[in-house]
Amino acid sequence: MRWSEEVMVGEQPYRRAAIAGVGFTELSKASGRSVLALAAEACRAAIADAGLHPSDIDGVVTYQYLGDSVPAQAVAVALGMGDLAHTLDSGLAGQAPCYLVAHAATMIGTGIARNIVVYRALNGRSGQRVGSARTTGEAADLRYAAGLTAYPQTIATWARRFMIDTGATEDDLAAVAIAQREWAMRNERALRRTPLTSDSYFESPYVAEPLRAADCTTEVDGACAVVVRALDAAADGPHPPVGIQGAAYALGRGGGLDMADVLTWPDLSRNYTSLLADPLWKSAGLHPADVDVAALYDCFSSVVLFALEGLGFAERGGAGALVRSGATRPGGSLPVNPNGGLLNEGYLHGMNTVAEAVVQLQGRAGARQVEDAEVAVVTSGALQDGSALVLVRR
Amino acid sequence: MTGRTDDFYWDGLRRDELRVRVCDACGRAACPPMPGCPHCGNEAGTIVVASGEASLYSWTVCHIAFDPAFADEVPYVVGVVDLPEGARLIARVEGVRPDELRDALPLRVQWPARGADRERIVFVPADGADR
Repeated sequence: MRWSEEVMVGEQPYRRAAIAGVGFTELSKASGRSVLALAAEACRAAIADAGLHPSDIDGVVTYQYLGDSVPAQAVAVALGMGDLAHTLDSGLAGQAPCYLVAHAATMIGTGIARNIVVYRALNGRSGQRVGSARTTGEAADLRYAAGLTAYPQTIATWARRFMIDTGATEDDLAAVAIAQREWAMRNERALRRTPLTSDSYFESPYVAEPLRAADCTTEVDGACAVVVRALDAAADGPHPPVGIQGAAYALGRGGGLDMADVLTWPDLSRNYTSLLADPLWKSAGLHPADVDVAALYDCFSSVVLFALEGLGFAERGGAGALVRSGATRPGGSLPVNPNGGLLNEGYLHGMNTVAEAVVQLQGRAGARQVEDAEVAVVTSGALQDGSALVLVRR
Repeated sequence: MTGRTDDFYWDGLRRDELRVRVCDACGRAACPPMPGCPHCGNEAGTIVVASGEASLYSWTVCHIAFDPAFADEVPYVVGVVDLPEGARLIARVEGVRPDELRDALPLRVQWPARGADRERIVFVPADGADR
């Protein structure tokens, strides 16, 4: 039991908080700016979007990977914030955004802070690149010796085992990439917006089989932030508050010595989504059938298939058929990643995945708006551990 | 010796020995070397020399070298292989065409010639001729 039943069924403190605003910088291949400048701009934008001023903020929360960003205190200083009640710099990487939003909401729900900005900033294309940054330690040295040096290769070993155990095919990976590109064409922020057909998908070169370039995220420079505040205060803000209805994090036994260490994980065909599905839906009091829009962490297309099965949107072995049915495309019954996902909008490390769910629930997603979106599920992470949220329009 | 928990592993490779740490409590091996058993949490373990047999669990054919050190080798196959001792290992898989790779393909370790890279583990099909 990862989460006690008593905690699960009770009214969680995070239910008393809501996401009130989002902010972005421009996304580019070369920002020509410091990570601090990007972080400050995105946070300033999110705070203004929530109808607040930096002096209203008393908490700053962020995450980074191998030192590729700036600490929370730097943003607090750069924005001239006053006394802070809470800061957190997390070393969790793509597993962090949902986790940190739930954390910020809990800090607010328990009265420790009032208004918290959560951000991710990186020069992820022109500077230190997450996917191929050199890690150290016993596990890393072992895989480097074999030539496994980057995340696309690691994820490929998961994808291969998933295909062996579930019968998924490269056509299923293609369907994910094609559906999300169709969404991306409606999102002016997305870096990849040219049409992707089955032919052009299969012309895309292999990076690490079974993954092709079209299955891989678009690395970018940029930043994204959200503001979390008390639900009653957010109700007076400029946009409909987005409530945190449920939240979960899971790290299974044998999760590896680092994120890319697959050697003690028993089953490479299942990731953390299989572990956190029960606690997530129980915490929310909702079910997969209640979801109007899904924002699923997608550093690689295969990760979407894992999440669809892990969270219960499809039976084991059924994710590919679900995506090929068109359900996740515009107009489908389960819209997935209407911003085009990390595959197309860009790799803001899943912070933008949260932001997309927020603007969808607030009804301000423009050409990609999912009609009557009231309930969203969001995931953060691809491998042994990760987090998820169920968000609702209040 | 560097004082790291994996010294025994690298020392073994220099002697053409695949060494794994087997838990004194549950009897299962684990890689990478670590100061405890990931299966049961027991602290004490014994280092044993593995048989060198393995079974292919998963793999990827790497077409791009993200580290320039491997640029001359693409495409190459990296396998996740199961040892009968109970540990998994990451290793090169050679002597087999990528389209012949399959689940549970029996493998055996192939030690490099003298002077070659002693840190890279290579597995080849167990029924294949010596290369």
